[in-house]
Amino acid sequence: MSIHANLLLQEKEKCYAPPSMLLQWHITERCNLRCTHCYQDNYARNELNFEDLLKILAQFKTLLATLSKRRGKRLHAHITVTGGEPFARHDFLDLLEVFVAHRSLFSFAILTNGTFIDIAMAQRLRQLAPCFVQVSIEGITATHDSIRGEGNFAQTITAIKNLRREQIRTFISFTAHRKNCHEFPKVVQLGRQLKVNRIWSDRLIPWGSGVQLREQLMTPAETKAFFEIMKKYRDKWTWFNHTEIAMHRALQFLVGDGQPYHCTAGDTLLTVQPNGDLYPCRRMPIRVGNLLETPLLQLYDTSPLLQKLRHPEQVSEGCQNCFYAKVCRGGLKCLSYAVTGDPFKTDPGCWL
Amino acid sequence: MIDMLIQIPSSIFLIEFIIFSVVCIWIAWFWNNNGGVSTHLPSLTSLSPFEMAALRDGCKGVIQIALFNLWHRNLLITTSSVGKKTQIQKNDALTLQSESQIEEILYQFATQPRAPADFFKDDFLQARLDRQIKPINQKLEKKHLKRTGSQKRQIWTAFWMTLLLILGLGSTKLYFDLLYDRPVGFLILLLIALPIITWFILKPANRNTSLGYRYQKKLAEHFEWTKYNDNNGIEPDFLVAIFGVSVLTHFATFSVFEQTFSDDAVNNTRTTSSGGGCGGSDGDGGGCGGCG
Repeated sequence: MSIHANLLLQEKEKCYAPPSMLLQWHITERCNLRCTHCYQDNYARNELNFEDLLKILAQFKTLLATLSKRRGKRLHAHITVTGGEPFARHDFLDLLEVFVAHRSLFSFAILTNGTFIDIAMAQRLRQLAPCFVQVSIEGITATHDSIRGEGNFAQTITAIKNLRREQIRTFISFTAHRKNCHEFPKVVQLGRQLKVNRIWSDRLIPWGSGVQLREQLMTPAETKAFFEIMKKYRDKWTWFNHTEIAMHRALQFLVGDGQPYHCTAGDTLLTVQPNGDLYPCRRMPIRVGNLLETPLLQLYDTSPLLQKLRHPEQVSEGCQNCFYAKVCRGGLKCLSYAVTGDPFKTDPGCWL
Repeated sequence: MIDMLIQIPSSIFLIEFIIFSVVCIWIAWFWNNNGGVSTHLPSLTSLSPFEMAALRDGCKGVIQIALFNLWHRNLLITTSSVGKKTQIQKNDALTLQSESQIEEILYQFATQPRAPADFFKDDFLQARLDRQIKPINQKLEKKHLKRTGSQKRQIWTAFWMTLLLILGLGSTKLYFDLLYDRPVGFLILLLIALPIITWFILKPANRNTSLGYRYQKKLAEHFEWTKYNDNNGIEPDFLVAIFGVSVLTHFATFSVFEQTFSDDAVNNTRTTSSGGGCGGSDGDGGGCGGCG
């Protein structure tokens, strides 16, 4: 590429503004659980202090202001705060208080393992009013406990009950792999009994501790069969029940219909690690930079990786002839990266 | 047999007659649907836009797709002046480079300025297009989406036989009930309703198989979202093939084409019937995961 063309591209990138922005913020790596499929394999106290967290938040606000200005209207922005286990930080609720004060700029939600959510905490969360709180169920009791630790299933159910009692929107996340995918109907049944608002599922990405589970990755045929199970239970009519079985993840549109999903990492999704490192996504752990060294806006505008990820014409290798190439753009890029080392290769679970 | 029919009380006969009719209709339906054997739906992207359009709207659908492709590539231009009707003409500034014979035929037809409806009504044009559309219909028949000639004959046979049995038995009973001065109100109502029900269940006039209709329905469901996303990454001719020209009202870029070739604008056009046209006159046509 000529220098002139390069400059033009850079100028164009400086005008880029997505319609929304989701910041997934991992504020700690500390966790009271040792899940077998965790993206982490290091649980050390390697995290920023509260003042540094506020600095990062200020950078996020600058990013939003700039992108909104470019776009000519306010960006829809959201922060999902997680860990590790976010409640393991003593100042977590203080951070949520700060988010509450910024509610006009962005909404926020919490991804947690639920073990810290007793009745008092649920009442406190109700006051803070997050968009939703998400916990994970991995299958029936035995399967769940084998992944997340003995007795955790009961703790998670208690947390869900506490959250629902306070009428906090509660989501269940189900990480699907060979061992547990056939238990999804049981999780749906449970979720409906507990009246959670949404159950969604995505496939296992073998990072961190989860590398050991590589052989548990579903084949393309198994992936399709799993999505068909999801669709069957999504479409199953039930009396007086409003639990949504969401099918809005990569490739799920092929079975479940609806608007195709494409990976938004680097475009409308950014992830900040506990030490301030910026990733396109937690499940695509490629370090873009560190927010204590380089401002978020600068990284967003100039990172070649983020630019490539959000390029509208970018289609993964092996997907060029696919009918859905332009709308799906290669499926789950993080899975491609985990399996092949290249996020721009076709989704290993795609059956087309 | 006749004595039994005369002696049977009207109320009992009505119940038995309904059961008899249901059984007849079910047998006819079962016969027409390959003995209940269901064929799997083809992949939603396995048909070309021309094939999808032929499935949805027969010959008219195919012409719409070809015209849209030509118009989209600026090979056809719309001319109209105040007080005059819209006319379509080929754009002499460009040269057609297409592998589609259908597009080629329509492009040549537009050498002279034509009204939009002419593309659907001209008999000579239709005859030329029929030859090109025949292979498309054959492919649809091969995939069990469109009824073959023998299937059409079979379904009409089943329909008439079912009607004959139902009306034959009902009319005989009606005759004797009238003769013996018995109430016949409900029986008359049934004799009116049952042919209509039979028609709607067996659908003898439809050109597509039940699999074809399921396929169309699934396509419409699967691509419903495209209607509300201007820049949706799906080729526009594909959307026209699934939803018809009316889908273009959702997209500002193509609304001119929709206005020109909407069903209203080209009404009174010749459409294919189960009996012929377009493919053969003998009826053979067809929040990423965090922790927690």
